[in-house]
Amino acid sequence: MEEQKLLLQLQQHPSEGIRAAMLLFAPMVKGICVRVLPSRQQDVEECMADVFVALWKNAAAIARQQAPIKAWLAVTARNKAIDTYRKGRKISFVPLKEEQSDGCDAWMYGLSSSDAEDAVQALVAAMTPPDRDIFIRKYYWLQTVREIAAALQISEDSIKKRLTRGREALRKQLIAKGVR
Amino acid sequence: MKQNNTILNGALLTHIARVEPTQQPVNAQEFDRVLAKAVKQVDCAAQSAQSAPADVQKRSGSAPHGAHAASRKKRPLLRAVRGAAIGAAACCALLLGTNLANPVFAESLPLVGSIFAYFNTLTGKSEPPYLNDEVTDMAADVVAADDASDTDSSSLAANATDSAGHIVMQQPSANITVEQAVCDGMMLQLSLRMKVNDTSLAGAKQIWSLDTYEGVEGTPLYPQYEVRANEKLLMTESPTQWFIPVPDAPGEFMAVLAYRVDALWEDDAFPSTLDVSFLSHGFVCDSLKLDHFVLVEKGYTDRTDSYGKTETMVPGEWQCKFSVPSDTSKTRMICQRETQGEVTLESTLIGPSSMIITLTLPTEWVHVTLTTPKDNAGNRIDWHTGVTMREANGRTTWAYIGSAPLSGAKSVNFSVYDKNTDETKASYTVALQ
Repeated sequence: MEEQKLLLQLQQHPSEGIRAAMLLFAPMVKGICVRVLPSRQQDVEECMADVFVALWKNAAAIARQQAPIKAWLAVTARNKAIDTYRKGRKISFVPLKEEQSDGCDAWMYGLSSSDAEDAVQALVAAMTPPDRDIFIRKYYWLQTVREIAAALQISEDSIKKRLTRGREALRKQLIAKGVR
Repeated sequence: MKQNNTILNGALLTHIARVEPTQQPVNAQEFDRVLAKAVKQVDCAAQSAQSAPADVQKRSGSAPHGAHAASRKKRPLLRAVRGAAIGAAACCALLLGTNLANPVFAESLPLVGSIFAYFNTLTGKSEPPYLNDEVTDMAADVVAADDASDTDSSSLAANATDSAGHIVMQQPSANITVEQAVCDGMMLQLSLRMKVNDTSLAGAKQIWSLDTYEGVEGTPLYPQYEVRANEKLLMTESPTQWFIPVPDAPGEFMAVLAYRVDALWEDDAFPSTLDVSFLSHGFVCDSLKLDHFVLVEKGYTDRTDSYGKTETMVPGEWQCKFSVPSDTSKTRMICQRETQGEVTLESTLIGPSSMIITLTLPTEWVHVTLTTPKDNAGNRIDWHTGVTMREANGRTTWAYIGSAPLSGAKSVNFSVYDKNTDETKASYTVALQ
């Protein structure tokens, strides 16, 4: 289904539109939510529902912007999953996962100011390949280093080095822009 | 965190959309549950929009949003301990599953002195760590040199030998014996047996080594695991950086470790002997504690604060040195250098353990990769990984590493193509005979 038709259906017939969107994108949205909320099936399902409701709410704006639904859903799923995680925190048991093991990632996930996030988005978009793809896979698709290495045919060590250097470069650029 | 993504950077969204998504299958029941929850929220929003006074709708900015917030349920904290597997050990779980699913089969496997044969049976012909019958047959016992303990290193000095002459690296937590080794000029593979002295670790499902280990209380990162051949640090190429239990031998674990050695070739010649040094600064054990770690209330981004402090370490320093003769008689470097468009096939290295195809491409071709190679009879040759060899002048040289072709194969065919556009950049046929 063409994206504009799907967005129109969401606005005119919300239930049918959400079902159509889920048929297309539910595995992708789940793939992201599960990364942030591993072994939390109930939270994953609630988060997925929230994501598709958000798509319905923003259908008109997305249509106006002609934003790719897939990417919009990816970022929304990531953000909502992290929000859900934060709501359910205090003391919790979380499976050990590679993507959670890099303490340097904290600042990428934990950006609290909208200005900072906007600045990071612009800087990531301006990166050159393959660094941009690596960052997008790591921080928006929440893929593991191993998955990224396999997808891009680059060694895991190289991926880690590029992430480290890229974060440092972004940090310097943010500071230069006066964003904290 | 931004709640409304309608003002996301458009360029970034375009780039995100180009990347293959991470997906998880959604079964029918799950699909229905999620859809029901979403539709319920939409219905609530619609009812609320109809019943709410106009001034309330105006204040809230949008009726659906206000209703959506009201429909949220308060979620209980999740406190259950779950049996999730360690991510890094997924492949090992498969190996263990094979073993557990057929105990009779497992019992019949030749264990004593033949860890290679055991792993060969488990992994089949096309999976890492690059074992097949040829490699298994080539494996030879590693025997300690007479002067191996003549050193200042305390961990080297602690080494002993078993009745077969194998090196036994002795530490209070565990002893590790290097049993066999094989090198075909492409891979150096070692079989090791670990015997833990801590009885509480005897029931562990796996023990593995991490690439790096960050010491507690601010001690620096250091390589936890090093294997060198002729002074050159070898790149780990085996997914089995862990030990799995030896059946019916509580407290005993075994591993086959594989390392690429193709970089040791010089002028089409490979060293006849590799002087190998093995060094490990400790292992991590998957006792029950390790399936999870306690997250103290600091938030998603601070979860790593708790990292590593609940892991069960197998501390010690295992170190040894030994020699491994290489046998490259079945390994061939096929220097069929061929350029098609902007793709250059540099070389093809084929041996009992694996096949390595080296190509040079424009660096900007990040979505370009290889098709799965097939031999002249149509048999697939599985890829395992690809690594960057060097970058210069906008060109990148890649090494694609895969299984060895079946014996008798006359040629290997593969194409270089763009994953996004399916455009074929080059097609090669490498003659093997």
